[in-house]
Amino acid sequence: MSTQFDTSTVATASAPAPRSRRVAEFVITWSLPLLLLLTLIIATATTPGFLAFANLRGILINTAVIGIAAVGLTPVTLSGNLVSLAVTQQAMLAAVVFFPLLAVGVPLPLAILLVIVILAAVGVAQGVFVAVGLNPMITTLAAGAIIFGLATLVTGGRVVSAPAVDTRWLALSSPLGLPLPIYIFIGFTILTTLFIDRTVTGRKISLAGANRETARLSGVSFRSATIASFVVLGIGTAISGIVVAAQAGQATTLDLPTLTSNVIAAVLVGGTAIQGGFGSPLRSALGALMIAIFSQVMLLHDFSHGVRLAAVGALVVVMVSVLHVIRKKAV
Amino acid sequence: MRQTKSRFSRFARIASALGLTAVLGMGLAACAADTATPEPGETSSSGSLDGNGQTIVMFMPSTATIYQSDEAASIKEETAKLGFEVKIFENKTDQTEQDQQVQQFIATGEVPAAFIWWPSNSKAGINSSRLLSQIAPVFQVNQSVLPEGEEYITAYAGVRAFGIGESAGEMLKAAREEAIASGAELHSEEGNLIEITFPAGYQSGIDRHDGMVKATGDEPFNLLASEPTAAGFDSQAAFDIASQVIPKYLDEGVDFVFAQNLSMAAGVVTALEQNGLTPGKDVWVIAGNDAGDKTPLLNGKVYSAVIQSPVIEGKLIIQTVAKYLASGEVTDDVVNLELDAEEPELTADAPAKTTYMPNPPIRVADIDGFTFWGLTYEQLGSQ
Repeated sequence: MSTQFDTSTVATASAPAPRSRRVAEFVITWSLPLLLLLTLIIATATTPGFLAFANLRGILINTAVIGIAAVGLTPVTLSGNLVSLAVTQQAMLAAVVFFPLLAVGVPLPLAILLVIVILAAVGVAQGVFVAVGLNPMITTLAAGAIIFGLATLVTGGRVVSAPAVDTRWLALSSPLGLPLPIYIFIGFTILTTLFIDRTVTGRKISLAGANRETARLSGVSFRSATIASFVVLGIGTAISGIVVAAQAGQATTLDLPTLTSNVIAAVLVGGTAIQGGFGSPLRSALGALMIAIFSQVMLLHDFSHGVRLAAVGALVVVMVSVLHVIRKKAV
Repeated sequence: MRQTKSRFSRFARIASALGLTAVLGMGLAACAADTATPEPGETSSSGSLDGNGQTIVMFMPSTATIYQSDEAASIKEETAKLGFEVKIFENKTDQTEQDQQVQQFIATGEVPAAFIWWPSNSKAGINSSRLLSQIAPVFQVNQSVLPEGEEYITAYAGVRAFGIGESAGEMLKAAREEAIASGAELHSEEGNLIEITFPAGYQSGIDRHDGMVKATGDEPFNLLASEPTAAGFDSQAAFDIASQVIPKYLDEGVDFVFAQNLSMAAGVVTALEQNGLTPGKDVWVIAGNDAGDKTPLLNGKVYSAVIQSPVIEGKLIIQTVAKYLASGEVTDDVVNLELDAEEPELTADAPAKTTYMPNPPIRVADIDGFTFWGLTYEQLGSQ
């Protein structure tokens, strides 16, 4: 698990006692995996059928779409650019573009590639504006509105689909009993985590978020790090949208209304610092998994829909607050 | 001196305020005199269905969805045919935004011949319908009129969500009969049923559920769960909740799933297949209204859907307004229109207080040759 640390405050604050700092670092790094483990133990002990294969498969299926987009969003947050408020619209755009490409005869692999390229370009466009100093929240909010408006204009509100082309195998193929979207989610998480941890660009993204001034003095371009992070988000939302299209078999511009908030929740529950510098795509994937498990356990216990939503909200608040306090103490 | 000046200043402010109030009061009174409007129930009758260029103002959710888009197009076509002008104000299915639009429109001082009111939230929108009703008669469409808002609505015309639920309930019973006849063994005597509904609190979803329960009341199902989508009415929203709920009941067995529209049914089909169930063989999926891609209905993975035509609803509400403006009154009737192959001739008699369009069920075998008011299934919209 990636353990980049927030050095921005290290530079300015007096260091606490080494032992307490080590404890805090341990808690920050391992709180989510431990909490996940604890949740699994409690769920197994108290919830009949929790360990049933079908139930675990359901949890993973539910994690996939949100998890892929959350993994894609993580570099944006890591780079010190908060979050994107256009995740819903980007994933929707991917789904809405995917079907017409297939309908006009573009082969499936090429259609997937084109959607990824288009969404990466959308990422570049937003990244450039943010890199030159525009507020990332306002930029992505505006980008989301533009994407939604244009997509609605083009589709006329119609449901888009490609009945003549079989895309559902993407959702239904189940090697080892697990549907393909789960493998796509795991694969994208591994690749993005490797990108952040093992590549120069990935390390620059983390450093730019940890301390922008130090990064600048070290020759790290905040602008290129920002653009790169938005490209990863574009790719993540493209894949997420294609998975949605395969599962739903159709798309409209009003799809996925809660995706942005769910994805941000997954990133925050995963423990990625909202101000950047600390976190990892793997943590966001686990955050999405944590929320899905939490939600499923409550469903199995027959909690009402409202209670489940409120509890997930409470989980986000608790996780973010606790990690924030511990992180402050650690430095 | 300073005290004298201060007193003078205070006096001047009070005098100014009083003066301004008086001027505004006179202005408003003058406006009121100029734009004195009859009570909704007292509109003078024109005797003619011809709109003579009068304006109808409509407030409705965004045409970013195909249903609303088709209905708006139908309304424009019908108003043009009858000689009316129409202004449509759209909102993002947000009652607060719609309420602001109402306030802004009222501030313009314009007095239309009638309002068409499609609230985003029937209950929360009652105050806006009250305000509109003080200017011109208000005709509600699509969302059923709640008892507490009845006095502000001149007439309702459109879909009957309860009826969609009833039709779906009848199709559930038909599917069960067919399943048993084909030798399928149900997991309980009545058949185990899961319902996937619209988001919690959405009135149309509540009505559909109630309609389904009523229609199956004499031969009930074993309702395992009734779960709403987190948000949205789309395929993915239904897939998300179905892929959570279905594994929970796999051991108990799922025989039937009722999704409140066809888009949602498509998501349910994927979730069932991912869990190893074959729709149409192991489990029967019944849809509410037929919004969205028709593929699951055409390939038989969805047993049936219910026709809810935005084109018919658009025609019906404009015809209701025209009839009211021609006759100057409404009758106290509740009319359930028949499924006529040809469009009935429009007459200038008083419309009913409530007119429901038919919501017949449809299966793949019924589509060819289906006509309703002279329109084929494909022409009924929401495709």
